[in-house]
Amino acid sequence: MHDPTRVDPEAPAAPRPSALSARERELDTCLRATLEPAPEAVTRVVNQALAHARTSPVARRRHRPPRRPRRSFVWSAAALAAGLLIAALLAMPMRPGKPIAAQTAVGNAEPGAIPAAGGAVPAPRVRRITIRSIDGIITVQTPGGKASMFRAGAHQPAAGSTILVRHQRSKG
Amino acid sequence: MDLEETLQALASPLLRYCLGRTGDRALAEEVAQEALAALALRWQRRGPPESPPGFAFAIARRRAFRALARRRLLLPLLALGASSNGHDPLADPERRTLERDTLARTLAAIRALPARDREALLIVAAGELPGAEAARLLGLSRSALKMRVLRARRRLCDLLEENDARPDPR
Repeated sequence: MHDPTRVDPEAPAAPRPSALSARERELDTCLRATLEPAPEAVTRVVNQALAHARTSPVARRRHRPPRRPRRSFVWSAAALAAGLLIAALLAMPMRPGKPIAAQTAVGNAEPGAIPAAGGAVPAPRVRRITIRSIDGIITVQTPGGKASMFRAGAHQPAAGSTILVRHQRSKG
Repeated sequence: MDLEETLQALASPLLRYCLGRTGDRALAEEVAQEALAALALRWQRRGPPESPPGFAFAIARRRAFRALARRRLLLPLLALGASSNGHDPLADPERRTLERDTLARTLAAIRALPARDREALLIVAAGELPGAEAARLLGLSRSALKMRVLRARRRLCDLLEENDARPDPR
């Protein structure tokens, strides 16, 4: 009985799918021969490509001595440094309008008898605090010379007590 | 491998591919030269690419596409120029006519192939790019590429035979 799974050793081997038939090989050869460029064309293309590469900006840059840093680069670096300096100055905590918190010791102030003017209290971040009235408004003089108004609240500070000074926007 | 040797080795297959792709010797030279120049620049700038043939063929494919699109736009002007330009670079008119006829027939048959099959056949058969690189270039698996090239060869054979069997209209 015929067994379809049995391999006949004398049967010719099936062609591999990757192997080209003679006709296909011949077609490839014909195609190449038909499209074959003239030797002058090959030389011309290679020479022109090489010449183009030799005269390209990249090739020229290779043979050029290193340049000085550009003047614009120096100017941009200077401008950047100046900008950073200005930004640092503007970001200083004493600038009016910038919210800061400073613990200020009210040294010689007496309860209920805050000096009307001229009393100076040293503070860690505020150069001078002048307490001008006892109605809860405290004037703080900043290093920039501008006066900002602070409301101390209902409680008068006791001598030696610590008050929290909140920096507010300058009233002009 | 040296840059010049690589360019020499690549020039012929690249020109064949470009001619098959564009159907015009001058345009094929232009495209091949641009691809080789790009390869030379790349070589000088960052050393040889992983596969110089793959690199050059990828560039040539794109440039050929662009050149054909450009030519399609300028077709009316080119037709005018061709009718007035009688320059003949080959000396022997009989040989020239025969060569031109064979080439014209082959190019016509190639043009009649579907675009995908034509591209695969030209890269593998005319450009002689190895299978793995050609498959990577076309974004196909190796087996799909083989199938496509096989189909293109069969169609091209049929087309050429049809052309041969057809009587010459002249």
